[in-house]
Amino acid sequence: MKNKSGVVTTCLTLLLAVAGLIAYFVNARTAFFANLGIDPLIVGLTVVSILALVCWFLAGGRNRIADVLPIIAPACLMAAAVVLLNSRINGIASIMTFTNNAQNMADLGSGIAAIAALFLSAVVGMINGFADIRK
Amino acid sequence: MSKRAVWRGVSAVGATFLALSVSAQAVVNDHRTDIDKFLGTSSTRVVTDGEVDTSDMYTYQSDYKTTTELVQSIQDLGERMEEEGAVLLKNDGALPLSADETKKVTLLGFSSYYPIQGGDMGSSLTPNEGTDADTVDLVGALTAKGYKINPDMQKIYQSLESTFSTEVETWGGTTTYTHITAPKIGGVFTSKEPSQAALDGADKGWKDSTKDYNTIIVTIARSASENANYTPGEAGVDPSQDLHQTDPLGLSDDERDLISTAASLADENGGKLVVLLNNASAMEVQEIEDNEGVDAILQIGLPGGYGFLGVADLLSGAANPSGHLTDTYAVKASLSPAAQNYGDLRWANANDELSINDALVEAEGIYNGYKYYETRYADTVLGQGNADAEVSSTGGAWNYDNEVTYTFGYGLSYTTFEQTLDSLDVDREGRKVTAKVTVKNTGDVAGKDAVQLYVSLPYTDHDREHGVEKSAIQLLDYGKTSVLDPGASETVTIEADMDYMASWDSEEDNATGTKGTYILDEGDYYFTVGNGAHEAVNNVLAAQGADVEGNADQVKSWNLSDLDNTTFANTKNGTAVENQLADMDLNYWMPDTVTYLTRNDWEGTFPKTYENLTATDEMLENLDNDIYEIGANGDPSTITWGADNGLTLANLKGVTDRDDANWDALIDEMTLDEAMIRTGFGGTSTKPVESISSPETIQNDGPNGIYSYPLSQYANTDTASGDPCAISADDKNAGYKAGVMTNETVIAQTFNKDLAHEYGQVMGNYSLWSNLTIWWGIGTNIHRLPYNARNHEYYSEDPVLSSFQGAETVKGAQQYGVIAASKHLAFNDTEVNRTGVSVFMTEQQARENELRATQATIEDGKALGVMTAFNRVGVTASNAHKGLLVNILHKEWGFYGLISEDFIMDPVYTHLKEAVQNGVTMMCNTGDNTIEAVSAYYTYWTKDAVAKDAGLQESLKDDMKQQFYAIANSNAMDGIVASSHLEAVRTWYDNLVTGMEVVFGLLALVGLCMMFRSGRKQDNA
Repeated sequence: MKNKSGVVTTCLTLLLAVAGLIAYFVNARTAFFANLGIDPLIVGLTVVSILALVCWFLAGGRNRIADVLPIIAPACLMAAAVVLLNSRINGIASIMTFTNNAQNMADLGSGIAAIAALFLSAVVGMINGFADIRK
Repeated sequence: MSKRAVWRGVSAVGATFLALSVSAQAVVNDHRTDIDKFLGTSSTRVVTDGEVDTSDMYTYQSDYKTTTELVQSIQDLGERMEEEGAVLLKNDGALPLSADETKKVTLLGFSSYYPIQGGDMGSSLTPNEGTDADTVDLVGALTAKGYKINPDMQKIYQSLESTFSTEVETWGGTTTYTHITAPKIGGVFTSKEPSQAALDGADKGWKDSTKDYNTIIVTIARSASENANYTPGEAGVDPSQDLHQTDPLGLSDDERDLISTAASLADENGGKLVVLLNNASAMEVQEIEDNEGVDAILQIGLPGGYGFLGVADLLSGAANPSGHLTDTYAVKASLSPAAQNYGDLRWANANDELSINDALVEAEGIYNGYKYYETRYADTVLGQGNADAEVSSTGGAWNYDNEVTYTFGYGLSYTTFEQTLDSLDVDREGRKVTAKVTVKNTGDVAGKDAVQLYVSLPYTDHDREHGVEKSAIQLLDYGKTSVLDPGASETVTIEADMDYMASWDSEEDNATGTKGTYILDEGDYYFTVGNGAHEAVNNVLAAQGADVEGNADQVKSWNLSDLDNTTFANTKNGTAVENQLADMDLNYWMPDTVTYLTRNDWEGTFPKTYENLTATDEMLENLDNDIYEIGANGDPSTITWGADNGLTLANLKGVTDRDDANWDALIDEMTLDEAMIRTGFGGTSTKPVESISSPETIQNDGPNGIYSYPLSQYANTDTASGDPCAISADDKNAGYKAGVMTNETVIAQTFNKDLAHEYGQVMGNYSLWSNLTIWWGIGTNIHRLPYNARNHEYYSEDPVLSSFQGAETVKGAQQYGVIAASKHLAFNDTEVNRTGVSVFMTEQQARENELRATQATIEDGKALGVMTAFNRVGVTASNAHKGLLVNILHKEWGFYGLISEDFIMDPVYTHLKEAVQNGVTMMCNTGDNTIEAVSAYYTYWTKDAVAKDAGLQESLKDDMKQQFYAIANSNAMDGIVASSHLEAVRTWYDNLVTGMEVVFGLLALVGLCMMFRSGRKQDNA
């Protein structure tokens, strides 16, 4: 059995997805964004993608049905990223203009990090779709 | 790589982009209006069925036939506004310049080349190039007017550009300003003026170049900006600089050295030195005034896009200055009573998640600006109230001459005028004071003069018992002459509103059986005129027998034998007044905490700083942003939604009768969903409302002109439509933006209501051509302190001047169907932690200073729009304060129209459910046009809950009625008739998203199929 590049891309996607989720939780607790709460859709999509990646990793390419898992994962991550971005657009507009100050910029930082991590994880996840995990 | 993996990858790419496309559809739906604004697209259109007479479609008509006429009229007004609004503060005969002197001008100071023409943010200049009215800076204006400028110095300053540029880091990039900037919140002021060594380093012989160019003009600037702030005293100055700058609004050594060197050069070369003050916040300039080498000082404000043309005319004498200061220029502004409570004054139990941040206690009471300086001065003369105590003096016993450089209302001319107060009649029942003032030009140059009518009210034992304060002098009204030739006279008649000389007495009984009313005390009232508040108070003191340099002949007195607590107990519309803002006094919540300044004891009551206050549990019940609970309330079955009454908004076009039954019938046609969505997701425009065929109406900043969008973005480009203001697609002025006017301080400094009115008119015309209807253009917060960097968007420290100028602009604009709106209601006195700061003050201060600055724009101007404020009114958010919004704004002043909150993006601090009950018709948040989306954003705003609350639904209906009343009576209805209806339009980006969904969906599907096929082959192999 030989590990292929899929291990790297799967792990990287997983890592970015988890980082994005953590950054989202942090952002949702900042003063500026706290009142928007935690969106179960974002959490759900990210968790689904994480579970899909874990199952894909464990299945190790031995199950043909499992091939859908690396397809589902980046799609869910992309959706999560866009939903998160959408929920932060008003805040970004406000902070970049009328309420720009150091604290709000810091609050925005974790939001930007979360969005970026989720987008990136979706991109790596797409690449991961081309990679086999074991042979 | 196996085929199976390739197809899996293809499917992953397809599925991921499909997810992107599908979720992007939600983004598009949530932000459609803003996307349309950004891209210049439109998602709806008005379709009119059948043949209609187009002559009836356009209610409002422009004064201009072309956009060329339009933009050139704006340019012309901008130039004239500056000519009348710049204030000549000092003139030792240096101005006006001779024709010869204009041919040898040296500009010194980097701000001469990179001036402040608008705010860094908010009322920023919109540069226009390639239009029929291109904007100009100082160099451009002087050149255009035939001046000859020292080219060597221009090159030197250009070579030093990098030394005075400021980079502001933001997400997504860096903005570089080459002009001086206002400090960010929490930041400090950094002097950027090149030192003498820097100038020598650029060119050692630079001084030689001034020999042939010995008319020296030095520009000293302080910028202005929304969301920026000057911190008083040395704490507000960059500690890394050692430039002996004691205040951000005072001079740095580099500026001092520049002025001294310029004075020497002017002296050595037989020239003259003129200093231009390019600022909106009053600066500390006593040392410039005292500098004998400075021949003249001209305060030019922020001149906008065309004001420098006016400055050029003033310098050359083509125009004669007639502006007067709208703010006191103190020797040391940080010593004022208001400055003792300013800045980041945190609650001890702050909670940023609830926007509980600062508590700003305005312990100065009514003694803001000149009302402080002139009243304390009067009391030093009269020997009362310990006025000459050392407290808050620049040194030793308090002495006016050591404290004030230029008083409110002060300004010089190239000629001299003699004003005579011929007569004064008080008509208490008619609530009018009529003054006739003859103005004679006694000099030898033609010019205009401002007539400032002041009143001094009696300060009585009743006042002392009830805690009522009285300024020794206050502006009651004003007027301006036409151009008077030498020797010519004109009698100016001022009909002043007596409401503005009544004082609020929170402890006086009123007719409704509660407390609080406006009173006139028994005693002598003194009316006078003068070149500024100091001359006026001296006139009054002279009339009272004091030994001062005043002219008692300029004073008329009127006696009231008994206290009058009834005449002004009802507002102009008959509403009985009572205390509405008692909860703004911190002592209401925390008894005996605040000592408010009283002229009865200047020393003992001078404000201390209130910080680290702890909000009580009772206060936190309001501060937690959850005041009203939606629930079963009244009989919801009595409320009608979704009726079919056959009306559209166009049926009520131009209907000003609020009681017309059709208003209710129209609003009955709306659905509850629509009303809930439109109030909750207002955004930056009123969105199209299908049920009543209401068009989208666009909101625009700002006080320096309508500048949010270029002229063509919403303009009608169908020249065959019959729209008299349609423009061709290739119109030369299509990209013109009207953020070009002088800042509001200059507009007020004109003391000319006609110019303010004319400003409204040109913006009204611009609105017709650009189809931009809602104008947040009337900034009526007062200048509590010069440290508020946003003062450029407000008129003055004086409420009457602010209100009257604002009212005239409203009237002018609304003649052309603009929804002109004043902002920010109310008490938006600081940019520091403005989202949530609790502002505390007495009701007298609130009504006589802050609210009076807005009052006339509503009562007299009949403004159709108002914007609420970011801050709290005491412990209650401005959106949620019933006393302010319902009882004062709507009932006492009679407001009827559209109210938007400021740019509040927090769904909790927005206070939607409370705001709706207070007549706020639209929040600034945006989202998808569905009840699910609005309910997800505001978790309490569900249809189930609101449907049970009849009272809340009544409020919703009333809000919608008021909002659509404003729209029906605006130019947004031009081109729309009863047979018009709205149609959805698929934009190119809608098609793009749909196309992406199809393409990537197919790609994902094909990839999936091929992947399984490959997998099967692999298995079979």
